[in-house]
Amino acid sequence: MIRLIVTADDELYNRLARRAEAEGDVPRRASDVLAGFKQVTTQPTDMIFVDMSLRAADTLLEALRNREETASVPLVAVIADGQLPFELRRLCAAVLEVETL
Amino acid sequence: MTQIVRNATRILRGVFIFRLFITLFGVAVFSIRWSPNIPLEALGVLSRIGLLPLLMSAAMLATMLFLFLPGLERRMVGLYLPVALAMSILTFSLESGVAYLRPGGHLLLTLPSGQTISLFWASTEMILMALIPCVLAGAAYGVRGAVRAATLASLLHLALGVLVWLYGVPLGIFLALLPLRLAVLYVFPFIAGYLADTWRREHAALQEANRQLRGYAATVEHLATSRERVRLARDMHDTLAHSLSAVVVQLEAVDALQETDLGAARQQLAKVQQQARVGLDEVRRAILNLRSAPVEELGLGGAIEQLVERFGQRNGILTDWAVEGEPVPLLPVQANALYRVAEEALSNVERHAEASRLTVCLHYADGVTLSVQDDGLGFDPEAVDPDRYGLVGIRERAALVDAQVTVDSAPDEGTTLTVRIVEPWED
Repeated sequence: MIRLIVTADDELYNRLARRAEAEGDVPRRASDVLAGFKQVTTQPTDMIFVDMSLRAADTLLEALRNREETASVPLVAVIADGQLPFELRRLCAAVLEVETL
Repeated sequence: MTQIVRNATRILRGVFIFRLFITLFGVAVFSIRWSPNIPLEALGVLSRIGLLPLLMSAAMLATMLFLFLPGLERRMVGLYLPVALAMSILTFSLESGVAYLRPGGHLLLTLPSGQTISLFWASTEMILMALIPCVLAGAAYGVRGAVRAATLASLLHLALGVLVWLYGVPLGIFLALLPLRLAVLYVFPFIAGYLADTWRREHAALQEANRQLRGYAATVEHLATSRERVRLARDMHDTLAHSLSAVVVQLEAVDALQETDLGAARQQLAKVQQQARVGLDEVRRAILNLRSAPVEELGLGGAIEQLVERFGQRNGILTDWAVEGEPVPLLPVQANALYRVAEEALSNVERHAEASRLTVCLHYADGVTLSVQDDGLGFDPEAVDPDRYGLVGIRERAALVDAQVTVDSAPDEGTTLTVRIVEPWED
């Protein structure tokens, strides 16, 4: 399985990538929301981790859910402060808190 | 299943109406004129074969009554269609026998115009009529129903063969055609039954999948609710409970200090007030998080209007808000993106512009355009760091929903930000 990790934070990417590899998946990175959106719509992706501290991360989640070809790809929101509005939380298959990684 | 049975009954009624129409047509033609070449011996044959035509007429009448008598279907429920099918097979088999016993197979009529009409159907055609209830049995009850109906039709056909032989009619043609007729009687109903069984199995699997899906959906909903409860409990523990316990401890300290050191007690009391305010803010934030998104609650126009109103109250700046044109429905992702762009733009004005007037407009024409205009300091868009003023975020957000962003600004001339979605689309 290919896990796309959308984050500008190197440390966060490394942690999520190590975890993906340990679970037998292949990590791939996008450093901003537009790069992430492009990768998901042009390359096969099985799961998407979105760093919610990125600019426009909320719109990325909604845009991915809205597009037919990406609507069924599981989204995992990665948050730092334990707060994610309910309307975004309901779009995600899971919410990961950075401190639990 | 019930619908198939109901439709099969309707088709059967249609077949008998058609058969009745043919008979009435024949009677009408007879009443117009007997053809000189009508083989009168045909009537003789009919009398020679005795009770068979009477039996056929009685079976036809009984089947018609059974099919069209009101209320019978409702009373007999599951038995109605099998009985109707059996009666139909009997009727058409008897007709086939009568047709077989007539010389030449056809009773011909010549009309005054000279045209010749076949008044009664031939034996083979009647077998085809008997095929209809067999096929309907296959459609309604599957392969098992098809085989039962075809077996009944075949046995009746064989019995009629024996009967006509007893009447002295040679069996040569009957026996020659028998394998073909039996094959026809079994093959077509079997195909119909097989297809109906396949459809039924697929329908059942689909229903089962639907049932499982409903179960999964309920489980997911339950899990989401549980997760939200846990989050809520954790929020309350981390905010309200924490603040209240701090307030309680501090009040106990005030209680202890008020008799010994009034000054320290007052200081402690101020801390309690501060703590209570912090707790209140946290609870308000938690409540705000629980509320649905502003766009969902108020619509795009209402949500931006509220944003502008709060901005004006907070900053004491003159604000203008307008919606122009007829609003068109947007996708939630587009409406939310425009709302967040407005939010970020207002935050920029608040932090950097030093403006005295703000104008926000939502203009619907060939799409939708959001414009945020201030009369503040402005800046040179070419000269500033692209990431300054949150413009990169606005551009990224806009790009995700195929919107175009324009920033029109110059030093001391204010700033106008416009975001345009060219082709709004509905869900």
